[in-house]
Amino acid sequence: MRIKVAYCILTSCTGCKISFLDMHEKILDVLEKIDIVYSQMIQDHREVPECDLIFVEGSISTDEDYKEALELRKKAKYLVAVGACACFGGIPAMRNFYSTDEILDSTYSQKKGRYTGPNELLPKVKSLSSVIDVDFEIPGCPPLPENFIEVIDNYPNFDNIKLPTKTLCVECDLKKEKLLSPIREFTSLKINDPYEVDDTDMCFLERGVLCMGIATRSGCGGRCVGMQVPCRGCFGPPPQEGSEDQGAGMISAVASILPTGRLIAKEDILGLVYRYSLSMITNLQIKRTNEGGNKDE
Amino acid sequence: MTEEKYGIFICKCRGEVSNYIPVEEIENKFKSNEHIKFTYVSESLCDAVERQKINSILEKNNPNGIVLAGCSPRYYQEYFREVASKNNINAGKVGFANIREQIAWVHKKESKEYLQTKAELAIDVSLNSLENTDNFVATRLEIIDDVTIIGGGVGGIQTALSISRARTNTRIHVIEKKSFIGGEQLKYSKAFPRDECSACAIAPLISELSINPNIIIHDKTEVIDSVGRVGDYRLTTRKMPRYVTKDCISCGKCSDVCIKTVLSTDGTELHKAIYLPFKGSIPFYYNIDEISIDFCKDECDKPCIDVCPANAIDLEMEVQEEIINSGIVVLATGARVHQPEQDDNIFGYGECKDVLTLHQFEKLLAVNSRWKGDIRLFSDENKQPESIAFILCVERSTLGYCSKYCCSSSAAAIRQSVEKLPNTKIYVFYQDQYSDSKFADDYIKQTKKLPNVQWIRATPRTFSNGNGINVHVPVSGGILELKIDMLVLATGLQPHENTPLLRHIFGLDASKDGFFSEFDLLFSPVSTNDIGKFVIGTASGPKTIPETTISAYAAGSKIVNILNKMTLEIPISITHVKEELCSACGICVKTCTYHANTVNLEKGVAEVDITRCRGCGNCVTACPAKARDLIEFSDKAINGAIDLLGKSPLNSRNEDPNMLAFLCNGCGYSTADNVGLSGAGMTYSPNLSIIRVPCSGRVDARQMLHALSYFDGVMIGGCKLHSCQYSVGNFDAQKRVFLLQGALEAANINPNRLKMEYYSPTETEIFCDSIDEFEKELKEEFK
Ligand code: SF4
Ligand code: SF4
Ligand code: SF4
Ligand code: SF4
Ligand code: SF4
Repeated sequence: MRIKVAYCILTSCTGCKISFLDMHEKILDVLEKIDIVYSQMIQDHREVPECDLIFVEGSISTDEDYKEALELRKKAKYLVAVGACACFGGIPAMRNFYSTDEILDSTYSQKKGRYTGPNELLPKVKSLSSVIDVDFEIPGCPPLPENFIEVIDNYPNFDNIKLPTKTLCVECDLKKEKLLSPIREFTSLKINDPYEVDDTDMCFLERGVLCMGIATRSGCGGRCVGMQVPCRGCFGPPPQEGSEDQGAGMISAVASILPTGRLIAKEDILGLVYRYSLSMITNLQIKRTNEGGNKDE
Repeated sequence: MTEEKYGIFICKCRGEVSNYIPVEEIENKFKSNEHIKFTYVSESLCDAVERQKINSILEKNNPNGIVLAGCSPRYYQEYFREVASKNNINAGKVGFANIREQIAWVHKKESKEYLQTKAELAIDVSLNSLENTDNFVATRLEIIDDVTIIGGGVGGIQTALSISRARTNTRIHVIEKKSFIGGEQLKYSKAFPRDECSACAIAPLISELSINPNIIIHDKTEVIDSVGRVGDYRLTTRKMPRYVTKDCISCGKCSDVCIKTVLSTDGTELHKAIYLPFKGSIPFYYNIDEISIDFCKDECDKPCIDVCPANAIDLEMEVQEEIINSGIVVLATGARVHQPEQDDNIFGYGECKDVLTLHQFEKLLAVNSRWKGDIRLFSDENKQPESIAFILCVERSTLGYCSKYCCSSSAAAIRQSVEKLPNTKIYVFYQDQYSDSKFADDYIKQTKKLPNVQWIRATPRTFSNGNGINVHVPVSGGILELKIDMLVLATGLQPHENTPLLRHIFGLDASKDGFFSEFDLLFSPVSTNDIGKFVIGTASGPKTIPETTISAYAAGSKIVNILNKMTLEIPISITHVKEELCSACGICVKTCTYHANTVNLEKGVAEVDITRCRGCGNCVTACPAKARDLIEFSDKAINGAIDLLGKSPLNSRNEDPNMLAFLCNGCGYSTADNVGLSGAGMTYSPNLSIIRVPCSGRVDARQMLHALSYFDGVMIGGCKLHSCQYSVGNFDAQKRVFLLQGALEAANINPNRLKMEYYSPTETEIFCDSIDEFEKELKEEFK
């Protein structure tokens, strides 16, 4: 029996699906194992049927997303969250730092209040996995095609899939020197934008470029850093309890190794450290609660 | 809570607690808790009779852990932990609830219900931290009974002697870069304060050193690498060849026949290629310097080899590397006399030959100098100066500190100049005068009465042409013009040129002037960030000879203390690195000021040297993977405290802002304690909750956000900058707060909801004011 698979998209860029389709000839093996019963762009089915496995890409940004997520959960025997948006909010969740009015104004109209789209924006974007139970999470923006294959190969024993637990530096080939020397001095006297430094084989942090690799779970194989582009954190926070807030982890780490006074002036700090994952900061906009923590109302 | 059963002691403190807090009601509440094995209310826990009682209660009930609710843990923490250990309770399972200083005494005016709830909360927080604290363990290290002292100057010698006198079997290595020990000053002929020859003054020390078979002098040797930890260091040394073996009997025949004369780079010494640095220098055999050896090998018929009766000359001698193991390392590497840059044209130094530094001049006065102690002009060695001007405090403002030695050293030089050249006019230009002792003051004053010596308080300007030096002195009413033959510049002390390299080799920190930095200038002036390494003498900054001696003795006694124990008990404050999480990113390596972390490249994970870790928690905060934790003050203990305090009903009891302060054990927490202790009726907002942390550097941005999710305002209270008991924790905390404030601001949240404050424990009013201020700002924000 082939596995009946659906691929559904909430608020996202559909990049993950491109990655899903990016298996090259391996897709032939995969198609031996699965029947795709629903997937926009590659098929013309209007309704998601009940099925064995649903891949869900995207974050919960609108009321529609929310409803659909609940629906999908009911239809799926197993449901896998796909990509940074579904796992930790992703790019859409960056809007959480602003109010919905600000977002609508800046996105849809020069003249205020012109947005008449079909869906209501929720006040805060959430990750899929914070709204419904998911059986597995494939991180990444976008994920690697191999991750999909792994999920299909191991269906339904997803526990057998072991995502790496270390941070990205372990997959990065760039070298460290100063970071391995205990002398208390900055690894660079200046914070630099990536375009300001030469391509070398030294760790970005030693070139004064903020690389999120230290606060990001490995698994991508270091595809950005390998191309002389600093990591922006798309595989999300490290797995250890207490390190969920990727940005605050990054802040705690860089304070002792770089002249961070200048960082604020130079960088869009939120966009840098919270590009792909939710921030505890967004909870603070709600005043005085006795709940605390990562609330889900 | 797990199955563990705890005991709670509540102390009435002879009414100091019970007059305000209903202790019996608290006791009743906890009594009914299934995890509490017993409760005990005491009139006064620190009372001798009660102490006995504690023992018997513990013996009878045998709890897994205990909480002592009473005074601040600052007072009896160690004592109660000791008592508990004797009763088989690990020190990690002894918690404290500070209900006296931080509740009863400061919030007297609040309602009984408030005080009761607050005290119960404090006990809950303490119970929670017991749950989340692993047993404390300590480790014992063997100490190798060898000491290596780097630098064979006065300080190094004194350290070696003070250790050798107390411990006759300890082997002591003295590593000296030069070909003789005793330091450059040994070459001075008459020195402050006794006007005796330096070599004679120090001779008894050197002879004591050289006859001790357990003191090994490594001349012409440098340390090129160091690995290991306290008790077991492995130093790699490199010894330059002397080209004369130990068979040398110091007859001097080689020197007599040697055809090559060498002038030292500073122009003060003239000697043969093969020579003895000075009479009686130790080691007492001849030496050829590296600058001469090419000549010796290639351009000379080597008459020295033929005449040497001991067959001691070996021009083929090679550089030798040696490994020295030792338990303790002392850096006694000294300083160097500042030499003005030629380009800076400081009083014509470097341009005009007759402008010397004081150091050069003193060497010139010595009998083994170029002119056998005669003072002559460098520009014309047949002439003696008819006038000499000394300028003190040269470039002092550039260096930024007083070098302490120059005034008295100049005075010694002046006295000798007068003796040698009674008709020469001597001017001394000075700004300030430093004398560290009753003796020095007199000594310097006496030179003012010498014939032909004139002290002038002014900074002159000098102009040299080929013909003497013109000195212009600003005096009231104009400029006094003098013509001077020779100018002596008393320049200060600077870090030794090897200091940066040695800092890297030994992983030690520098003060802002580049000297080795002391662990604590006031109370640990000879210790460093590594308990097995000491720094003495001018290696850590300018010192007079008595000060150097004192520092040598201080280090000596500390070292003897360690060696006497033979082993060292080191409490372990930090967990092992979780290898499945750590990617060897190196953040912790760079963060720890005690150099406790390294990356094991083979395994690809960081490792902590528990012998160096002092438990500040800065690396735990910095680790982005959360691959490490402290044992006391663990993440769970702190986060649990935030949750408990945040969820407390006290937080919704009124409309006033709620605040949480993370206060460091060193200063912040003590300051809060002292508010209560002061007895002046001082108080701060009852809506302030306090969490004790070892250091402000322990507070993670993740915890700050966690706290902000419950509290209107969160404050980190550390020590004053530069006073952090872990030296850099508050700097890093400040930067974390600063960055997180930036992030809050970017998200349109008032960044002032997060605050960093710096306290000194006596500043109780400042503490209260800062909380008031904070409360006011928050009221404004949440109107
Ligand atoms: S460049 Fe980034 S990912 Fe690579 S080692 Fe440095 S911090 Fe880690
Ligand atoms: S390097 Fe960083 S941003 Fe790039 S793919 Fe990997 S995790 Fe994502
Ligand atoms: S080899 Fe010649 S120059 Fe060298 S020490 Fe002997 S005599 Fe002097
Ligand atoms: S900071 Fe953490 S992840 Fe990085 S090397 Fe240290 S222990 Fe490992
Ligand atoms: S806890 Fe402090 S002393 Fe210990 S390793 Fe970490 S930073 Fe160093």
